[in-house]
Amino acid sequence: MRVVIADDVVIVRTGVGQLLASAGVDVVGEAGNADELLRLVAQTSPDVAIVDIRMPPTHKDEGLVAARAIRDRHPGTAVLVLSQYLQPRYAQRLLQDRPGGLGYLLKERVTDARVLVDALDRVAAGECVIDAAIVKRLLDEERSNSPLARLTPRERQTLQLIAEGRSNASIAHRLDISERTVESLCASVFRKLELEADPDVNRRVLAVLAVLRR
Amino acid sequence: MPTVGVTVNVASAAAVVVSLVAALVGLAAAGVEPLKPVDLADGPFALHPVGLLLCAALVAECWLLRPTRPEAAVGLAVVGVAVMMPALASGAHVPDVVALMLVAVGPFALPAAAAVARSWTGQVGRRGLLLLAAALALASWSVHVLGYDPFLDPACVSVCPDISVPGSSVLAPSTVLGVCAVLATASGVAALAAMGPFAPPRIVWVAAVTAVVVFALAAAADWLAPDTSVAEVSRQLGVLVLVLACGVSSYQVRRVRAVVRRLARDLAEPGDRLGGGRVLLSVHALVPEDGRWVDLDGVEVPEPTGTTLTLDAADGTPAALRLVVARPDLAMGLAEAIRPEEKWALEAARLRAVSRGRLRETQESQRRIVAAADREQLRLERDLHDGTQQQLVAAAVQLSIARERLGEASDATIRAAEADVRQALSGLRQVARDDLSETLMAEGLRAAVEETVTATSTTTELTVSLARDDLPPSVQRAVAEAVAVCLANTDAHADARRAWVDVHEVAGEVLVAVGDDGRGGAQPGPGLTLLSDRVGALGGTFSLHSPAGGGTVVRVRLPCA
Repeated sequence: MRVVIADDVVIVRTGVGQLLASAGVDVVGEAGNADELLRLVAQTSPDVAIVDIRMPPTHKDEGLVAARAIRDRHPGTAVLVLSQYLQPRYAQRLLQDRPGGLGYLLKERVTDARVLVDALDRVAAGECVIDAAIVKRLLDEERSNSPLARLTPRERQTLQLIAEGRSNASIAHRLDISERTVESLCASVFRKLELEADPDVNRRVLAVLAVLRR
Repeated sequence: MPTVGVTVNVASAAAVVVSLVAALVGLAAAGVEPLKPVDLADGPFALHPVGLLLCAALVAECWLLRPTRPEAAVGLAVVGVAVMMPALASGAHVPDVVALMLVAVGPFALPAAAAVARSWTGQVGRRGLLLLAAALALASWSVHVLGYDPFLDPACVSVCPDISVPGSSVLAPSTVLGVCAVLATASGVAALAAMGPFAPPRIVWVAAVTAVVVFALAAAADWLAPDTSVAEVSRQLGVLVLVLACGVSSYQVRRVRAVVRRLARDLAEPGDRLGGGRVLLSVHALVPEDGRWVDLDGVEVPEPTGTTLTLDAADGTPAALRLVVARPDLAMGLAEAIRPEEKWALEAARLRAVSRGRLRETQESQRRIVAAADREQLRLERDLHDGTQQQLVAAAVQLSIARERLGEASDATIRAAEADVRQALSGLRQVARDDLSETLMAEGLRAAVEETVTATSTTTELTVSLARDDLPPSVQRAVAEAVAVCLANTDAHADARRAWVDVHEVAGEVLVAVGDDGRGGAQPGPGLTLLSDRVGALGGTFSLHSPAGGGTVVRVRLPCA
């Protein structure tokens, strides 16, 4: 898998680069700001761009803007946005229109190569990944009129793990149940969220959207 | 206040004197010789037309002065009566004793009459009486000097011997009158000296100077060419000039008074145009201590162009009030035309302006303090996010790499260090509050409030109705803080089932209400206190309603015009 990294802190992006390289990911370029990133993506057409939200000049949401630009101009490149913020708002903003091929992780997740590579694989496959902490926060909120309220606790856990971008096997491992049970839980979640029997990947993305929109 | 009191007294007294002088000069000019027998068959009012004109002028002047200087008007009226006394005394059927009494007592009846008038207007004090004495002494001096035409008849030889009174064998009437004149002059000078320095209004100067000039001209004409018409004509012309001057001055006094009256009325109704707008442009007050001039709303004003009039405050602070006048002619005599009750209206306006000015300054500094605290917090958050957090992430990455390289041989120490760094990162996120100012700056108030509501664990209903997006940043920040602080309290203490947030804009104000159905009984903690300070700095209001068991409602009102 070919990846570019955009982060204005050199030590972080080189570190993440090394980490990914050692995990067998091909890091084809590094950028220190949004403009560099867009040039780099145009040149190298990577599978995934890892983008820090805060980048020069204002250190606000330049990364978010760049992420959208990449999705618009280079549909073949998935984007994994890294954020300092636990607030779901940025994730909602980023993902609400076209969640496929997009990920939103807390910055500190880059220190865990396994989580990072897993997320890269998922977004490269066109899925949608949201940080576990943010999904938990969204699901913790009770909205009586939301379809989410109809979910059982087990289904809720399943949805949470789907939103984090985990595969059925991974979910089965986490919940310590069989993959078949996971499949039936997923089916039940999709049914309760009124998601049509589309290809599995799309339904997973739609389920994440349901979480984001509540 | 004393300054104005004195000048008002002086003005009225001087008006009496001047009018008296005018009247007598007029009589003389009219050819009425007060002490010569007049055939009463013609009637006591068979005066020369100039005399009638003078009487008419007196009446008109009384009328003009009546609403603004009642004491002066009464004084003038008394003068009119007194002027008639010598004429009455010269009646053929008046006994000599009565005639002399009228002549001699006439001038001295003035003090009594005027004192009654002045006590009637309720303004006689010790100083007032002194002034009255001065004025009336001058009046009697004038009567004697003018009545006997001392330039033609210096020792009263032609008039006085005609009058026989008891005791005239001891002292000749002319001597008695002379002594009276000297005594009157002395008492007048003494009384004037006792008053100390004063600034009579312009009307006094105009009238007095005119009177002196007229009198001097007439006297000079008499002296140089007795029994010619030159003296007669110059007297009559002089009288006309004098009457005209007095009339114009009275009219001026009345106009200035009208300005002051309007000013006092307008001060009682804030928002109205001051003094009719065309004459008085503005009223400024000096904020003691810092020497700033502020307008009636407490807003600092630059040095005005145009005519200004500086007044002392009623509490004695010198030069504490400044009137900016569009018409310099009306500025003259304005300070003297302010009556005591109006002075207090001005004082109330001054105190209001000063306190508003101080409040503004205090709010200004409060705002600066809050803004400085906000800036510092933002800087800290950014430093933590962009500096410390990145360094920790980098360290964690390096540790991960080290662990990968060592593979199975990786030390427990490295894993422990990694766990420590992750914990530090997670802790850092708790310390550096995520989002509020960032969201506010990046996405505006509505987004910030929505985000706060999203992050609240209590189910919260949000209503936002803002007419515009360009609220001042400080107001946006206060609204966002209000919602954040109150919902945080609801989450932490209220034990509520549901909460609600209502933000709406009405007539230049933003109203924020945050309520819950929790246990109530909330006491303002540091968060609410800070919020209250923030709101106060913006000139808004903050209220907390939290009866035990009855939920909590916080209401914040912020001006945003």
